[in-house]
Amino acid sequence: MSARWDAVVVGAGFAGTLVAHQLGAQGWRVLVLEAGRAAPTGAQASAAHRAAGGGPPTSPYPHSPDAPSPDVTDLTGLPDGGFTATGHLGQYGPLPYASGYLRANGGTGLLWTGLAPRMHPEDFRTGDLGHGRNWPIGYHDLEPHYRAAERELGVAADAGEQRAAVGLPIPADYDFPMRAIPASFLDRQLADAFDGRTVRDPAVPDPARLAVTATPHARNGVPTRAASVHGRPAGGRSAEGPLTDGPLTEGPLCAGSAGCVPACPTGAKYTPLRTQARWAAGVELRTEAVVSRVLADPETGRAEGVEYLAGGRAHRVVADLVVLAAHAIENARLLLLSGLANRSDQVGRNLMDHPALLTWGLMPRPVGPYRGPGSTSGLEAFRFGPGRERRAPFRIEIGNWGWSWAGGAPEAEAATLLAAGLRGKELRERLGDRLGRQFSLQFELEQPADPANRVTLDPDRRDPLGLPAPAVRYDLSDYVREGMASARAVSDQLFALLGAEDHTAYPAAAWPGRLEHRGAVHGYRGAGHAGGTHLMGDSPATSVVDHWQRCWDHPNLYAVGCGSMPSLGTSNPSLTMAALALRSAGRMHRDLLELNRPAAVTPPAASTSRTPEPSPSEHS
Amino acid sequence: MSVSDERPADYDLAESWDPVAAAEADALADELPDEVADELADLDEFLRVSAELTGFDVPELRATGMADEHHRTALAHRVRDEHALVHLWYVGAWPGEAPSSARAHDQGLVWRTFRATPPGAAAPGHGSWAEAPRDGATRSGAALGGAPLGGAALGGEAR
Repeated sequence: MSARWDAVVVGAGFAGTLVAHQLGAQGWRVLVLEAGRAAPTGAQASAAHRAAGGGPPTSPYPHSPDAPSPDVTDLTGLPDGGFTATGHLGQYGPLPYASGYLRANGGTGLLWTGLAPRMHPEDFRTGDLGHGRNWPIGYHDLEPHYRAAERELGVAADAGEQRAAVGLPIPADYDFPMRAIPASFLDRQLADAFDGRTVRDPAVPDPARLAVTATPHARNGVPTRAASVHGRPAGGRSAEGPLTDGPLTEGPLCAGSAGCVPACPTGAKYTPLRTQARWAAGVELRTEAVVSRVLADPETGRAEGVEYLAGGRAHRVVADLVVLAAHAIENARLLLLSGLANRSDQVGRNLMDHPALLTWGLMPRPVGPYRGPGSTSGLEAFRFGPGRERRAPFRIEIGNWGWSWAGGAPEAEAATLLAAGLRGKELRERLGDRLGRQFSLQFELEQPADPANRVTLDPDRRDPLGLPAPAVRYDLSDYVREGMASARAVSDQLFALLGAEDHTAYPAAAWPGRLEHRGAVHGYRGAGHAGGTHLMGDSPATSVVDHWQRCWDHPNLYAVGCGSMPSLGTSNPSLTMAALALRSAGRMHRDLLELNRPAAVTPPAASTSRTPEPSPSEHS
Repeated sequence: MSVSDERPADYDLAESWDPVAAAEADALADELPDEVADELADLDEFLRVSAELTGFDVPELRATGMADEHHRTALAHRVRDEHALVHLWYVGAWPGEAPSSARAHDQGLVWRTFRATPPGAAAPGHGSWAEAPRDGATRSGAALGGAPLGGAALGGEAR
């Protein structure tokens, strides 16, 4: 392969797909190398999952043996506590990193839930709050890119409610592309019991006021009236590169198939494949192409291209820009394999997730679980404010899918009652009564950046291609554990307000993610929100990438995705990842213009001064 | 009439499907397994026994469209007990096996006990999840309202 590409993008998930789309739309020639295989349609994946009788969310997708990825079923709880792990990700404890991801075209974005809340302005300053790290940019720097991402993903939300209930500064003239997804019947029952009431978080002196609030979704709702004129950043801030000019609504309205994870069977949920369908002709995708190394000039630090393995051979690709978009853990692994970008010694460190504390029970009356999207509303009161100094903040998702995440899906309940000897009408009635009243609460906690939570290359394990496998050392700090204690105390009060039976229990064998804190046992699942492993900052001494997600040590090497995020806040991070990717794509476009300017010999370090940068004002 | 899993693997437990005949069959098991197996080879008898064990009557079972497929699955297993038979109807799979088809999974009676459909199997319409769940006795295929995906795959059996 002798052709020179303008950019090579490693990974065809959320971030890589968006970057490739933006660069392709500007006329650049982009090669996308995806380690995994091509993905089936949502309808095919959903049918395969049902035909298999369920299975973990990655299971209906093709797995390339040469590009393994970890799965939640790799973890097993031990009867007396603790866990064992098998598979791609070496786990060296003390607690398990409890999330999986998928290496396939579309990445983990194929099987995401599709919740797309913005981060709160406070979330960008967690270091100032005494925990974790600050971002080098703030909410207002990202705001126009949030709007661009919401257009690209097709986000359904109510701007007024997001302003009032979440406190987001959203411009007054902005409408989300689509109206909010309707609240579930369960949400409405909880709103009747909660709204206007207060509960006490033991970490906070003042009571918290409850308000059930609709969650923004990247699934199709009813388009807003003036949506077609609201895609672009207002106020002359459109110099970041092209924004999507495709139709605002692709695919059908969400029809309530309730199968968003692992796959939306109708195509109402956004996945990166939707954007790929609009890639310009100059974007080429190669699947089953496993990048093993980034090549860089040892003198100048400039990235020259990548080496990848495919069809049993090694290949080299030369490009002006190299963009790593392979997932937080795989990006870090690739930088470590390449020996690049690690002047700060932060590559692979600061691994974060949203540990999700689940509580579950039975409502007094049937609520119709297993209908609609997995969660349509939440409680926002514990995400912000002074409590954040003492315990990790959390967002409460109201779970529409019964006890499925907790391990009590209908099939499991049926098996339990069958094993207890129930038969006939008694079985039917008992099961129907229990299943019809199931609900759960999902407390997604912020986990601050901690350099000790770390991805490294496993000295003892290699993948099928002979590349060192990733290994993880992971723990949850007292700050997170205090957040769990507050979450459980809040949960107890919420169950009391509902008159619900609490069935929460964390038997060790079923909960590999399990800990004891001040005498109480807490179980957590991983929300699949890996971040922090190449975090951005304002100094090359303490961070891996700058606020453009560009490696400090390599001016034409970008590492994009949640790995760049210095904090995750309490928001599902894909929307923020998308906004960052779109923002960085604007920077990449300007980089390529500089490189291709005739007769301009541009020293790498000077490239930022050429083009006026609309944001952030403190960092140009 | 519960059947222990500890019985020898070649012991034909078909007779225990019929709770009415269970006591007699238990006593006569050694002499009658072939005759009982012959009876259960008959679809109507299979459905009658299934209805007794599942709590869903024969028309409800037929409305799932799974009668023939489940009958074949059951007959393909030499060792049968009532637990396995109820599991087959409720979950769409013989214990320890994958469902015989996506349709078998989708038609699992477990979902009908609370008038629901399995994730991904139906498309009841935008906002349908905001409505109160239907209550009262679950009848036949009523739980599969709206516009099922895959058309006939989720419709009732035409028989």
